[in-house]
Amino acid sequence: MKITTPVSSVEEVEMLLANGADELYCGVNTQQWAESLGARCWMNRRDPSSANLQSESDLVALVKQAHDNDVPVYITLNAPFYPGESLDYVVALAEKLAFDLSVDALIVSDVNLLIRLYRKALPVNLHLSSLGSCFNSHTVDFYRQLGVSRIILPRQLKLSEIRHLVTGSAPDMVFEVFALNDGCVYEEGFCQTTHTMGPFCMTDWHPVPFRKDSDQSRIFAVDLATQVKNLHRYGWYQNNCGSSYQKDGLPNGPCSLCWFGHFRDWGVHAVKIVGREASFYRKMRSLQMVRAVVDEAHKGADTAAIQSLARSIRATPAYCQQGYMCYFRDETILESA
Amino acid sequence: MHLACHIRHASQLDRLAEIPDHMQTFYGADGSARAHPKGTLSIGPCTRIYVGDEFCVARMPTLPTLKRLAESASAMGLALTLLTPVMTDVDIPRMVPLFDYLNMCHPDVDVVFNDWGVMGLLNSNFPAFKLSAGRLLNKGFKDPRLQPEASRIAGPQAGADALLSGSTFDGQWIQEHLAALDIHRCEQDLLPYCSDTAVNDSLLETAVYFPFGYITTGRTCWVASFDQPAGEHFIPPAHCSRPCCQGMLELKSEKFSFRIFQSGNTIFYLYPWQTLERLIETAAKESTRLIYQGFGLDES
Repeated sequence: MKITTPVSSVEEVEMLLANGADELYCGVNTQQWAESLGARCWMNRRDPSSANLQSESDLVALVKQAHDNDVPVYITLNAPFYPGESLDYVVALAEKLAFDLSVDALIVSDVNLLIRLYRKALPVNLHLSSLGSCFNSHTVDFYRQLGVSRIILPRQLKLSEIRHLVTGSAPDMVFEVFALNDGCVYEEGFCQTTHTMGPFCMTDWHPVPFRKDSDQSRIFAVDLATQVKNLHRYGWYQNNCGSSYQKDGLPNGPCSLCWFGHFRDWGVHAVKIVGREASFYRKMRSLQMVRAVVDEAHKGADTAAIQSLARSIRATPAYCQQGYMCYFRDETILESA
Repeated sequence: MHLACHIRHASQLDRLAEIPDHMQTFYGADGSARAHPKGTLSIGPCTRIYVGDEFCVARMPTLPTLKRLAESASAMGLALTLLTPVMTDVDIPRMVPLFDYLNMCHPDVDVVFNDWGVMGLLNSNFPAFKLSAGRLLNKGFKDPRLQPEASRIAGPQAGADALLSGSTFDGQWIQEHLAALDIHRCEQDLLPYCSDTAVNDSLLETAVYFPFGYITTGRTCWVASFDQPAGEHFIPPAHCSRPCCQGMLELKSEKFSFRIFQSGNTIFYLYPWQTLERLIETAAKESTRLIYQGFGLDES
């Protein structure tokens, strides 16, 4: 089971390789995109200045350093939609990344982009971003027919559903699942918001029953204040516990560390650390935490031992006990664990 | 323009002529500060009903309910569309009896998929259905995020309209791909900051929902958690008591530039009245299908 790790500068590569990154993924801020669209439209869902490599030469250096260490490099072209002529530019960039810059895979979610890349049959792997929203085996088939060879599964799958997808799929498709950081109350693949509508997903609002004079108001008014508090609490956990750290410097936030033994047994190919925009320190500590648990899985530890190790590394038993800090929650498997 | 209406109960069939009045529920006194209607919209008679749900599998009709709806619609001379949501491999077998029934008794039904896998399943196993691509598959501009005002994205620069108005189904490549798969229609919302209500110039037919666009959705449902044991909050529910059917919430904040509503697992924005007027004018010229979803969300 590989660890797929975010990187946003050449300076981070040595640290990431030394701490056990098996695969790297990053975005690139190109001059042409910056001049035509600038900060008005992001190429890869992250801030072009703080979460991306800043030049083609940086990418060349990063790819060489990674490949010298047998580590593949994946490029994020994962906006859910490329407007207007930006799609033509991204297709041209993809050709350059594949033919000239020797990257190993492109991470894609826009279906127009995916169709165009498939038709071009570039010498590069296509990975489906979690924004591609693959929730069932028929969707695996749909994306396979468009040339996808790896699917990054969405966060709102249950563990039992991951097991079904991974164990039931033909070997020409591999799966990557989220390991650490950055959850969301909603499903990012079905989110239309630019957040310019206001901070509704941060629950900075108060709910009012739409029909105050009907029976509905009695139903919804019973404990709405308590329900909002619950939602606030869940959102806080999903948003990296307020971007906090444990006392030993490990980052708090959503994770699936407890389930790495299951992932190994089901044949999950890679676990993904989120956070291209994270600091050097947060990236390093995130990788160290995931590496420790993956190593235990590779040694053949049983699932209970792996879960126990994960909980001890976390050192936040109250947070873990709550359950809101978990990806892939599943009442059935939680009961049996 | 062709008018369709999303309903959940056969009793709502008696209210299809009330659509203009029902819209006043959303644009009336309570919303007058930001979206007061200046007149009555002329939207013609409803000729088709939509049943089912595109956001949550728990809100799909039972087989008896679907039969009642389909038979009542047929008796009234109304055409039928079934909405389907994103599904897991556990959900799909539960929906197959609905598909089997329609295939046997109403094979000319329109079915809307919001999941590429469901499209493949229906195309393979139910080739008589007329398939439409649903609005969850239509993506618009998204990033940068967490900007406080739309103007910071749109700005005065040329090209802002294209950023904010375009969407997946405008793409030539997806249109060709869908046409080759015998998909005949794409469905969409008006995006919140689009400057133009003209429906895209597509190879395929188009349908637009009103008076709400959806903002976001997900399987972890806050409203479902109202009836769940504490330990199961925010787990996608295997069985849901559907508290969403008892009404919807308006989410209030001074920071919102639209009226925002939550129905079940999904958050919607209400089109400003002027936007709605323009949409209906445009749809009349373009023979676009418009789908009224007011009854589907406000079930009372």
